[in-house]
Amino acid sequence: MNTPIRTELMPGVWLTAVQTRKFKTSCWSLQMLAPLRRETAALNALLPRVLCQGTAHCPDQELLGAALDRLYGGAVGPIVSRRGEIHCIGLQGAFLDDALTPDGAPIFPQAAELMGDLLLRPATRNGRLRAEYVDGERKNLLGEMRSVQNNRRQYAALRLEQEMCREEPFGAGRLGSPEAAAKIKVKHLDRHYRDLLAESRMELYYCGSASPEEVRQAWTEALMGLPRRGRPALPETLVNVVPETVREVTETAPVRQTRLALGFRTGCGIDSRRYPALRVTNALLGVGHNSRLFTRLREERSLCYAVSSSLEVHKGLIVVQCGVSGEQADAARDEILRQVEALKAGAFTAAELDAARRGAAHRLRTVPDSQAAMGHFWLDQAIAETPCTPEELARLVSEVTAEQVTECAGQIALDTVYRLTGEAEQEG
Amino acid sequence: MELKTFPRLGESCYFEQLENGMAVFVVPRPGYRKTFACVAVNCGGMDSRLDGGGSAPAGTAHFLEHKMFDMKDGNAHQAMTAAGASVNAFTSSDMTVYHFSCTDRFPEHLRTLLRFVSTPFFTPESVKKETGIILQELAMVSDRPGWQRHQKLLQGLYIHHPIRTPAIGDRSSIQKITADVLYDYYSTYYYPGNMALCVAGDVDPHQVVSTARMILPRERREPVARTTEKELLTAVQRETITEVEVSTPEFALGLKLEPFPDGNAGFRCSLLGELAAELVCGRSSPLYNRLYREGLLTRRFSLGCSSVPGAACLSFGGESPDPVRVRDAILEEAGQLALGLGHERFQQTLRAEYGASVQGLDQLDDLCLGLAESWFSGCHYLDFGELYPSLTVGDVRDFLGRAFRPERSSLSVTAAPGQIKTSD
Repeated sequence: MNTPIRTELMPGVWLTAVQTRKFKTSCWSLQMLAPLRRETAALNALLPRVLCQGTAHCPDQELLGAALDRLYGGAVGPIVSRRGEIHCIGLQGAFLDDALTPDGAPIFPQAAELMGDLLLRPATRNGRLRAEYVDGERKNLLGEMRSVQNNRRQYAALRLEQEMCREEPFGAGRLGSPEAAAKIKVKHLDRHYRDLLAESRMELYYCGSASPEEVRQAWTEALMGLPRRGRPALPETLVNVVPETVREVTETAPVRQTRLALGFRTGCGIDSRRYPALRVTNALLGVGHNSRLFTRLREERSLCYAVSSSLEVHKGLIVVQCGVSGEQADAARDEILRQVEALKAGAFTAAELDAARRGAAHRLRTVPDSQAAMGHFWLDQAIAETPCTPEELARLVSEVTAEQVTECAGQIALDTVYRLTGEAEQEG
Repeated sequence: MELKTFPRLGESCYFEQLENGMAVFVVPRPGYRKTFACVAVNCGGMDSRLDGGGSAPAGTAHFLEHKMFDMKDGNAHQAMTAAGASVNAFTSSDMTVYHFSCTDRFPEHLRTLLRFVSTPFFTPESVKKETGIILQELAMVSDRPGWQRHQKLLQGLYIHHPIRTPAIGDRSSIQKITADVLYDYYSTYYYPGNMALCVAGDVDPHQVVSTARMILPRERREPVARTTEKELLTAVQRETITEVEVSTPEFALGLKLEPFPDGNAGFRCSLLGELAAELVCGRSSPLYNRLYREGLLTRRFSLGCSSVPGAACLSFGGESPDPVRVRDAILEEAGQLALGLGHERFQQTLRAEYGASVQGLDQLDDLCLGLAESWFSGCHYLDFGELYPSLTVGDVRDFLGRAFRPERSSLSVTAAPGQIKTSD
């Protein structure tokens, strides 16, 4: 149970199907894996939003919404994510599982058909994506880009990554730039859409009570007519970038609390043999209440309420973030760097290591209990081309030694320190 | 233990009320690696009454939540995390919840959870240190436009009700909280009769009950009913604007409702409220789609119906260049639906609401919180499967006519200076 079946439905179109009766939802997704580039990032981000506006059959939101309501509150939405320098864009759907419809009417075939329609048979005018949808969604995309500044944490993370990866495709960001988005015309997007359909590697996912055979058949029918040019390969991600000097960037905004974000490079990604050690190293540094950062910065020194580190597993980046009062920002930065040094020197206890391993293994073991988490996990595995189950990875993580952590930490290099501070520090 | 089944939902739930008054719910989830468990205490930011008379400073429930993890032999949060669990807690207006999830050593984690929620241990030093952390938390949330907007909405809606006060407190009230205040607050609210333990996972329900029976105090105390001053249904302030540097104005629109009664009648009110809000401006409604096309709403839009003892409201929130027009359009649409809601649209939306609620049961944390919340208001969360079919077009029309009135509404907007104008 829960072990996915992977099949190649068409050249470069892969299906991951998980059959399980654990959930009341059936979960669907369809993603095109394109290289992340500054020139195309905004086009990629815009496309799935436009596709979600309507199909040839249900050409506007009201009709599409009514169709979803009739399917017992189904939901569809755009996906725009980034796995290293791969832009993953597409559609997701969640529907009531057939076992639970009160009238016993199956939802499964209609769900598959709808997913296929959204991708291949969008609402068009004169054979092109509808101009009013492109215009409207471009405006909304620009609005979403602007609204990042309303969330200080997200904004600090975004600015850090833009500064840190300014010379790499990763710095193009998940949504691309507002300048590029503002210039998008219907004909560009329409051409881009057709190119992506024909040329991008595609990953399909299903998790629910239907058998892999039923799922394979349903997706095959739904994607009938999908053009394919050759067998698209996976785009690559730059991992081994070494910072020459540490950059310090400080910006001001009307905030009460300074946001501090530190970006590190680890030189190690998901396909590395050191990957299990990297997960443990990051957990030991800054995941949860037993981590070095939490215990030292918050519990011992009351410098902040929240501090944590996060790992981008494809690009091998670690980002540490916290909110501190302005006069404590230097102290917080120094303490964060001290903790990274401690890991390099192996100055952590067996109990700390054990807690980090357990926490990291726990997070992996809960993956099969969430349809969304399984979808993310298997997409990561497909990209890493290292098929490994959550349980297998959890076992590797539990076996990581102190030496392996020290070795992994030894590769961590500080790249950029970003601060967002108040114009005049004002509290409460 | 009593086993109740909900065949329409494919669910079953074990229940027992212990001799000390604590409610225990266990929802079996065969095949899950993860177990989720929580202890919910029926007190939160709105509660300040102390048993010995007087009242606690604003923010005490939340401060106590931070300090409950401290035990004589160390910090329970760290002990559980070290043993592989994922642990957290939160304080809402009317509930304080301690929860964990784990993939092994469940009995040990459950014992620790039950032990720390029933063992107060505060020292002046540890309380002083926590004050600094909570002040940083306050600075963090104060920088969130959404938090500011929500607080202003509650202040715009209610004149007396204590949900006007943020659960976290303010700079001055937080600094008034001492170890003694925490002990007094603890003894007022933290007793088994005022708590619920909810577990979902592949666990033995009888073992859960026997662990709870073994660890928690034996004596039974009946909960004290909350009293809140009666509110008029008229909102205090129709519109408030908070100036912050944001890219797009955002709004929260609230509509005051009659407080919900306890039991299934109240539960039915909340389902009816959600359904009515969906019909007026949900994702598939003509109004939402018109406003979206006109650029007056975006995808960042939500709606809901919430209730705490003595207060209930409907809320709509999102981004808009003209929140006043959105509010007016919502009120107008509700007025029209109150007269002319058709049977087909009603059935279609009801079906969608039902399906979405069933899908929601896949989230073990939401399920457990729903069970606790319902217990405190005298109903069973999983009864929604039976209650939905009892809603009628007539119920919705009545509700729309009563609830969507301009004088009951309050609009709270966050916008950059000069970004929008109000209707005055």
